[in-house]
Amino acid sequence: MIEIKNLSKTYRSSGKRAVDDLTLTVDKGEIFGFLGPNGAGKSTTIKCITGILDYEEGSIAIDGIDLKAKPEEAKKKIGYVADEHFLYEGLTGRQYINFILDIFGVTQEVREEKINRYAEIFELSDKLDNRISSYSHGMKQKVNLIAALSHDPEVFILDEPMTGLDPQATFKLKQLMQTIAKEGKVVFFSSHVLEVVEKLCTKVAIIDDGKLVKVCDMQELKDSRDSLEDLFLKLTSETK
Amino acid sequence: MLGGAFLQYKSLLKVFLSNLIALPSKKQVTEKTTGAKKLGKIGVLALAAFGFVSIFAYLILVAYELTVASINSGRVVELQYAFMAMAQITVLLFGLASLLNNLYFAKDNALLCSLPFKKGVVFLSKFTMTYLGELLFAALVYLPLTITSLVTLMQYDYPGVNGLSFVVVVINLLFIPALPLLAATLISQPLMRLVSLLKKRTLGNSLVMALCYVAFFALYFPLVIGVSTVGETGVLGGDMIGAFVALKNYTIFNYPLVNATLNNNVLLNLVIYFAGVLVVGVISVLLSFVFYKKSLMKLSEGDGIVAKKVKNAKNTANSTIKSFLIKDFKTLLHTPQLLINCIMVIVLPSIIIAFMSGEFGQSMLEEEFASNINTNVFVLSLATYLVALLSCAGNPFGYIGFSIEGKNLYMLKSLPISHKDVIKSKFIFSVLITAVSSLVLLIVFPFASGIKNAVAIVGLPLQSFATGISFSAIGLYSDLKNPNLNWVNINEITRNNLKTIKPMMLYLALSFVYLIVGIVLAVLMQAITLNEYLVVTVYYVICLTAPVVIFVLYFKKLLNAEDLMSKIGG
Repeated sequence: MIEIKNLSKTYRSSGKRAVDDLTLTVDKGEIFGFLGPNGAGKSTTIKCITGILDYEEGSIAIDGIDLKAKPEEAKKKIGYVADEHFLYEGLTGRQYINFILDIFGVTQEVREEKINRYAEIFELSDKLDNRISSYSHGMKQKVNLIAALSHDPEVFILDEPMTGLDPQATFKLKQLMQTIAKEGKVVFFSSHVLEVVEKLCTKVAIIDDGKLVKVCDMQELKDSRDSLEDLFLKLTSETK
Repeated sequence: MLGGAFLQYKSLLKVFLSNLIALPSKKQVTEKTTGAKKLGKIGVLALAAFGFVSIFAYLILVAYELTVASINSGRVVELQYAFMAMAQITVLLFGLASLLNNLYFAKDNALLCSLPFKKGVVFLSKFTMTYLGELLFAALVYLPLTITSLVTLMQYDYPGVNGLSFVVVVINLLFIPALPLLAATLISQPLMRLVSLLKKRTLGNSLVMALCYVAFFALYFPLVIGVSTVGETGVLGGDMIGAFVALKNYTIFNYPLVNATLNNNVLLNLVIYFAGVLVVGVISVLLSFVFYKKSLMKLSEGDGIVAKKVKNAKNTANSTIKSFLIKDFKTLLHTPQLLINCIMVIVLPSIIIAFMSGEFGQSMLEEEFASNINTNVFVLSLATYLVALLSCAGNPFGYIGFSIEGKNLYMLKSLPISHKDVIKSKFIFSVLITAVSSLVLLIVFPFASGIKNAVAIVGLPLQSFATGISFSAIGLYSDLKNPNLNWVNINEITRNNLKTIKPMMLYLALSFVYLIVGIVLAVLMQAITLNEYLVVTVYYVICLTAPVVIFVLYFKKLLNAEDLMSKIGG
């Protein structure tokens, strides 16, 4: 699970408070949608959870492990797919995935099975030995997904994961996210595609201007017959 | 239509310039420093200033001595040609690399191709940016040499030289990079065509470029060192006159500029040169542009490698550090700019030493210095100086190892690996490059130099290694403190972040100290007959002190710089 308590993050260079006193808990088995307008602080929050950005106030715990106290242990639990492609263009897809799995200490046997499985799911098996520089945007995203999934993370974090993916891959990713959640793991992702979030998520959080505006249970929302789009537009315009 | 093209040219140039002159943020400007930090900064700045001043002092001294000798030998005109040629050769070398980086390897090519810019406008704007950059290199070489020469000529009442000559020198400077840059533009076309035909383009390009550099340095260093040695008699030796006359013949196109410098029909000569540059420029740019358009399209197809279906491709597990090293090696192999540097740092020292110690260098030394200086120790000090410079400047992983990662550094931060291990792997990779270079030197040096002194044979590679690893420690620490992760062209890493150059300035000063200490010992040895083994041992003990001290101070600092890594990103 992910436990965020009173998280605040101010960028040193600009002095902007991108995340302000954010408290959030994501339980095991949940598919958690993280929503907000552009510049609301979604990516900053995700970068704090994944250890990319340092934060001055609050705490983050991954599966009970405090990120600041034991960063490596906490990060071992995370599979992260970034919104930008942080890939080494000189490497082949296979070399890059193996590099990531080396860091996670995945054994030879396990990696063979996992890489082959996910490469097949995302239809990348025959292109895995091409250099990343020759990949399309969607293929790079698939490599990122395979690398993040192959070490079997307890917490799967994705920042705008559907961007650039073809419909087949998007469908398969959604299926995978559901399978992972059913296995009792956490799926936490940000997206602007409200229809996808509405169908997929068990819970959503809406953030605006660095502050948490609302956390809502999707079942309750469905029961109330409100649409996520209406709720989102209402809440984010209220704060303006 | 032309107006539209000019507007596009203006706006592109403006963007390029704004990108180049990245001003520090308000926060960075107002950041307060503690007393100790301030003192450290002042120390580094003082050493860097010493590096600069010492190089300029050396150039001024050389220019003064050569001018006096050329007056006595009646070769003042040839000397002016030589100074211009030195600046132009420098521009040719750096300009070729800069043009290739700006025109072909820049990451913004894809973006610019997608925008409604005329390709000719893109070409011209990039060419202009290269010209502006090379103007600086030309100024650094041409101005101190020529101004010193003119002042000396005025002191000796040389006819025609007066205040106007200095104005002409400044105007000349604007013209000097033009022709070598146009030549570089033309040279770059067949090079890129060749590269685009190769299957492994990156590697092919790097090897071709590295060969060009090696050939250039192999000719340039002995020439500069040779030209800068003047005998006690104050006249130019036969070899030097020969070299000057040859330079004049090869660069006879500079005739109008030399004439103008010496105050002969200033305006007419400048206009003639300008017209010449204009004609050559238009022809070269038109020719190059045709090739540029074709090559750009070919290169943007990627490097042409489509992997065959790999049967039974293995997923091999490696240790964390090994995995990092493999990743860095692959990155190096597929980044031409980095690969060229690394090939050079490995092979260039040996080639330069071979040329310096060869017949050309030896004849210069024996003829002019033999009676006053120990030749072996002198050659050794020159070699140590050059090797130290190359060990630093040639190994980008030693001073921009973190910045090279670009935004990938954020991804590394998200991985379950301690910052210490990331830092360690960066340091180890840089040291590996230094180690290979030092090993090559250890094997080649005795054969290349003909020096049989065992202490020297071990001392020089050891010095190279010590310089390399200590430089990596301070360089990587400095890079981690101020990384530049938002670059388009790899050259921008240092260009937009001058802080990365600070350690290099420090080592520039240190290398110069090695040279001075070596020359002093070589003169002392000849004057009071000292044992060569003893002198060389003392020399390397002195030279090794600074790198060892720097390494001890900065290696620990670097390994404990995890907080700096944490702060990256904001």
